[in-house]
Amino acid sequence: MKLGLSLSSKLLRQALNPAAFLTISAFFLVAIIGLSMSAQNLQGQGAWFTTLLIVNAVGIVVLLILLLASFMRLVRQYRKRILGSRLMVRFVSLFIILTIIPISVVFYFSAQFLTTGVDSWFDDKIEQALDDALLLGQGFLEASKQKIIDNARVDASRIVNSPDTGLIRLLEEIRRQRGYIELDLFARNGTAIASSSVNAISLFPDNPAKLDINKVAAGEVVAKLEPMNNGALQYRVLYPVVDSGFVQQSRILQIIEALPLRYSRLGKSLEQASSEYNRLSYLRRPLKISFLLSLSLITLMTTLISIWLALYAARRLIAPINDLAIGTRAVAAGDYSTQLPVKSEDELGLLVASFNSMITQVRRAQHDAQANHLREQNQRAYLQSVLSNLSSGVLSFDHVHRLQTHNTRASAILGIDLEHYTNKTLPELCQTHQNLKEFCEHLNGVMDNGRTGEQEIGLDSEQGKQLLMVRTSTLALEDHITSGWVVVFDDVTNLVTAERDAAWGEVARRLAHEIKNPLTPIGLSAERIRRKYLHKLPESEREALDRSTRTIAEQVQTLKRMVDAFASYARSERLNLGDVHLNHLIEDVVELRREPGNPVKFSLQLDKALNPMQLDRDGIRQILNNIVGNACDALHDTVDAEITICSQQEIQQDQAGVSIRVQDNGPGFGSDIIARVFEPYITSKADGTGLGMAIVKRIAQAHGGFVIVSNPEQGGGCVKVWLPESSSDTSNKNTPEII
Amino acid sequence: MIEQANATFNQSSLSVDARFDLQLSDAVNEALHNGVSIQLLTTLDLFTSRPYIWDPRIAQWAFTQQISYHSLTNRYQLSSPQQKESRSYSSLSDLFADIENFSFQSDILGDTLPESKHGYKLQLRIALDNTVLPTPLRVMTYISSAWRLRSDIHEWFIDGTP
Repeated sequence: MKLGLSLSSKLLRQALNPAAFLTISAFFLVAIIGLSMSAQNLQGQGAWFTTLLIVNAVGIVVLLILLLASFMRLVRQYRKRILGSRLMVRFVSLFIILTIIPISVVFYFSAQFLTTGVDSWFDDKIEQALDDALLLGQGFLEASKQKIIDNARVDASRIVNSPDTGLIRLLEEIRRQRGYIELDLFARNGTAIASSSVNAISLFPDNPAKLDINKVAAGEVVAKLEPMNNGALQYRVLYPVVDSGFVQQSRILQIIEALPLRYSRLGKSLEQASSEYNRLSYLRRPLKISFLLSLSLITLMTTLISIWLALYAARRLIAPINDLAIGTRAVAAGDYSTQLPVKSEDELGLLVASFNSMITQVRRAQHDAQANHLREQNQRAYLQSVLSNLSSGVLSFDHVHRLQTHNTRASAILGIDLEHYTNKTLPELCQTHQNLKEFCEHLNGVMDNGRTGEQEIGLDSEQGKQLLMVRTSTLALEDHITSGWVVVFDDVTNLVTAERDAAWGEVARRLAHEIKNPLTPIGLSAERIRRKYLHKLPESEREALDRSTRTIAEQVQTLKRMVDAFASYARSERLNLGDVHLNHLIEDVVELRREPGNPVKFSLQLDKALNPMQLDRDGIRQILNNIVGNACDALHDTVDAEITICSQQEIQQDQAGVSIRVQDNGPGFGSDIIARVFEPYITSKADGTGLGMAIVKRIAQAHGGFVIVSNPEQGGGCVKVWLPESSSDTSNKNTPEII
Repeated sequence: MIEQANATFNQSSLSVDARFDLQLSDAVNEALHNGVSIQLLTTLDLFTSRPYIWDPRIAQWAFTQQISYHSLTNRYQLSSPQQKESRSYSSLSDLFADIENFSFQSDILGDTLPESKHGYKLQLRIALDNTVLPTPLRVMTYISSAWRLRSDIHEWFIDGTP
């Protein structure tokens, strides 16, 4: 079935091929012309008429089918909104209208001309004249016939009185006298009795029709003018030869006399003219119908061929436009490889060639643009790679202060994901991050005033005060118009702290060195003076010496402790890592503090799931001692003093670790202390060295951790130490050094 | 129409006698009186009879008789191509009375007649031959039944074993 449909479709396409169609059309046009010529044949020899009629009917049906198929295809395309179908419908409609109108006009006037033309062949006067001539001829022939009848009567009487033996001679004599062609005598039953003919070799008489013999036998006289095979006319008269009293034995006399040659020719001519005219007059209506039929068929055939040509012309005309539309659509869809075939050298061909040229240029431009884009992307990736590997944070802003570029280090230093703030302004950044207010104000000032340079800016963060070294510069175009700014900043907190710690360490080391050395002789000297002179002095002065030397010894001890603290702070030692169970260490430190007379109550909330960690046991113990000691000192005047120590696992910046939080219910950190609590020699205690928290921070940082101090809302102070699960993650993983 | 017909058939000869009842329609009569000659075609077909498929024709005989009207003498003229002579009649009824008896005899079959297990079929028909009419009238013959004058087919089935 599918094969059949495919085959019929293929045949249809072949039939719709212009050459095939024109061949078919030419064949049918020839058939139409043949039909038209055949229709004009009035002599009855149009043997091809029926065949041609059938051929033309088939031709029209074939053309109709082909056109119907074409129109159905066009309608399908129109309904499916296939590109070009609407324009095709318009063109075809226009062409059909332009074709049908003149053909209809020509058909109408041709039909009128045919009708009136056929009518003009005939004239009533001529017809009347012919009828009159015919009547005249008939009258003349009738008169001649009557004369022959009269002669027959006379001849019959002569034959009646003649003996049978002389009949032949008598007939011969009469025939010669009268000039008859033939004179015969028949019996009543039609049997020939005697005969005389002008044709000597004729053996048999020209027998009359049996019907005529019967009439004569009944007593009638038969006289008729007969047309002969050669068109000439002859009279045939049958006259009864009746013997007196013996009707039953009567005989029949037959006279055949030719019309005189001259009259015969005239009669023949008159007969032919009259017959031809009558026939033409009679065929007038069928002739009109036949001509109109031929004209209709020719008009229909011409119309169908013209419609097909209109379809073909429209298709040819629209093809390049359709190609252009398809090409344009392809270009709109991003396909620049389209090249349309240039099928003609007219304006449409020029248009198609121009389209091809344009597409080629667009393709080149697109290729260049893609190459530039790729190059730009590579450069951007390279820049991004460079930026992401920079230790400094980099930001770039456009001319309206919108963030354009940033690197990961900038996000890390500022502690926010800057990806969310791309194309946003600095005020929008400050709205959600108040801690960046100083940073944003500085940048706004720089960008508003156009002042570039370098400045140190403080930043509040969870780890405390952060110091940023910010450098700003402008981005200028070739015409020196500022198109934006570049901000490069570094977190110099550690650097500054390290420099400060190093300076303080040097100070501490020198102080320890310079103070510790004379302390021993001072102490020994004071002890020696006490032992040597205390018993030698009078009682009244002994007490003063005793008090003085004791004071010296006590101050020396105090100075020694201070020097030890200095030495401890200034000492640069390496971490001695080992398995340390933090909970056990915390319990040990707290146990030492739970001495009798200590009013402070300890509450431990330790995470039992903690595993031993790689830590410096002495360093961590010192951290705990310093923090817990500070807390105890802070609770000196507090009623129901309590210290809560918590340990728990905590992830910081995607790194697993453990936090230790020591919280008391004392007065908390003073506002003047909390910001500088980790700086050396900052203390709220009268006898404090101000190095405890500094040492805590140094040890925690040496482990890769950090320390945060805060005053919780419920009161008191809180110190949180976070240590990484594995200290090996720090840069000096095996042997971290406490600076 | 064919009033009656008889056929005699054997291996060597065929004879058919028939009687026609001939009448012309008014349209044909009018055409005849206006100078249009008409032609009566009598056909006799001999087929080999077969039970399921069409019967192949063995022989065909056709007899044409042309009738025309002579306006000067007011007579009807009958001519036949086979007889090469014409006869005239004062009326159509006289003419038809002369040709209404059809008689045919043929000895030409002889040894050429093929054998047929199912016998033979003989068909006789007389009709107005429209193919010789003037072409404009041919169009009328397609659209008017007055021009479709033909008798029913008179058919004989003849046993194949003589």
